[in-house]
Amino acid sequence: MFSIKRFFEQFKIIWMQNSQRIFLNIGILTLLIIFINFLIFNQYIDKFHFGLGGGIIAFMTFISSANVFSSLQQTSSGIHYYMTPATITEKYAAAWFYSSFFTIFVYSITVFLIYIFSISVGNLFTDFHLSLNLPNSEMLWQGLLGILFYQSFFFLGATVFKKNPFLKTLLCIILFLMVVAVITKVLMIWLMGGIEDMNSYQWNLEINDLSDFEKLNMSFDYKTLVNIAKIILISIPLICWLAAYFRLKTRQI
Amino acid sequence: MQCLSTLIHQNKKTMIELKSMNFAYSKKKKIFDDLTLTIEEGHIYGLLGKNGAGKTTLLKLMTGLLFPQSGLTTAFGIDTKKRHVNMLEEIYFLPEEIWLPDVNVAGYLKMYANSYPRFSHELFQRCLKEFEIDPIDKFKRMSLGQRKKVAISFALATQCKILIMDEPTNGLDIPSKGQFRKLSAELIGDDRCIILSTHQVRDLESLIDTVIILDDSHILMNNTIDQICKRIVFKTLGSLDNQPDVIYSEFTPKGYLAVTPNMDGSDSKVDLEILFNMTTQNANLMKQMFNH
Repeated sequence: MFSIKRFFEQFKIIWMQNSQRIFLNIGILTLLIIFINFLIFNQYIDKFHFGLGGGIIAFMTFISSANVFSSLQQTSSGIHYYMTPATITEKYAAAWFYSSFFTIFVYSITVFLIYIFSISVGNLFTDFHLSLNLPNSEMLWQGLLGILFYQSFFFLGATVFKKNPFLKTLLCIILFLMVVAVITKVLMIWLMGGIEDMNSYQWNLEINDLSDFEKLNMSFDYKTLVNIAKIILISIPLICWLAAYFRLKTRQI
Repeated sequence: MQCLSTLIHQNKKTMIELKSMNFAYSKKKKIFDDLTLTIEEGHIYGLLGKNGAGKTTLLKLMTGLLFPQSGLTTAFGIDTKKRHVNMLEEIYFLPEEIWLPDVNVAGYLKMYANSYPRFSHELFQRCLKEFEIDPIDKFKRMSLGQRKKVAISFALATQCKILIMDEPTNGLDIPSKGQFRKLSAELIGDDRCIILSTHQVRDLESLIDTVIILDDSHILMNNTIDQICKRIVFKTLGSLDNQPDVIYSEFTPKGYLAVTPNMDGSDSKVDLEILFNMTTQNANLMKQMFNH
């Protein structure tokens, strides 16, 4: 039976193990971003912030996910982890919540506050008078999905790799993307009837512009392919999270 | 009297049960072959075995950290493989190499004490006081021995029904070994049990009331000190001449430490080191003597 109390106890343990590191990271990031802001403060600062902020949130989430099961890296701490009274589901849920939404929230707030601070101070001391320009909900949603997609790999990596889970998972992701690229290319050649057709096709067409595709006499339904790709993209993180759960449940120390 | 003792023994609750259990790290070498063992409440077990005999592996199997390839391991009737929360609340495993997070004693209590339903803060403070540990110090500033004392104090304060300790006296100074024995003996109740795995039998000789000897993937002995005393006598002899009853002896500067069958009901102090050497060298004889 899932207990909310034990879930929060597990979350508290992870938080207390990592809080010092998080505060240190936030301090370093704050100083670094503010320093860069004052070097290049201009009308393009919004774009810079969205790019850098998003990158920082993603990077810190991946680092946090890859190390969320750091207790399993040593036998003695692994014994401590598994012998702590809580179900595997509670331990898993606490680790998942911490390494996804909690980390994303903490670093998003940090980046947002630094952005407000930078704009306010920059407006005071420079000739620019910039207003706060926040990303729209669509951008935020896409960003969240993108981070969660890759987070699932690092989360799984944390349960699989004993040493350097971040670097090893990163290597696996690169290999995975290369394999996906090769498979996609092979599939496209097979479905579109040859690489020559693909190269001659004007890729600046709108994706939904089926009439243009039909002109090429293609032998597949493009919408179906997009739907399949969407299902695969949604399935991958779910599979990774599920695999991490079973790995945690069946791991022996 | 013997009947009453047997009756009391039978009424004791089984805490851990291993039934026809097989375990191997690889296909080539079996660690345990058809091993059966019962751990009952109210005892302090001493698990003895040579290096590599599988003591730590056995403890891990009892706690669900490892899964047997076949057979059954249960604690409180629950399959240990399931790592059920009710089981985890009642078993505390203190490994040989302890791990403590980068906090101080108060932080550690905040992190873990709430997970144990009967955790006693008073008992924890008392143990720390006995071990002369300053609770304000961070763990990373403490010596290995001090950290071990904190871990032992926490383990005792959880008041779990089963307390498993792997080489608990390793790293402890001489006075602390005595304090550990005192605290453990005080805190064991009729409804609890302690399993101590050790090489250093002298450290825990006075504490252990049941001896489990593990060798060559089998349990060679699982008997209480009383049962052992009833069957064999430990004595020191000047010479082995004209001593036909001696079944095992070791030469020491004080003379021969010898073991003979207890024919006349005499009383002697069990020498665990001699008992262990005798059992591992004369497994069949010991099995006959103790009806295994």
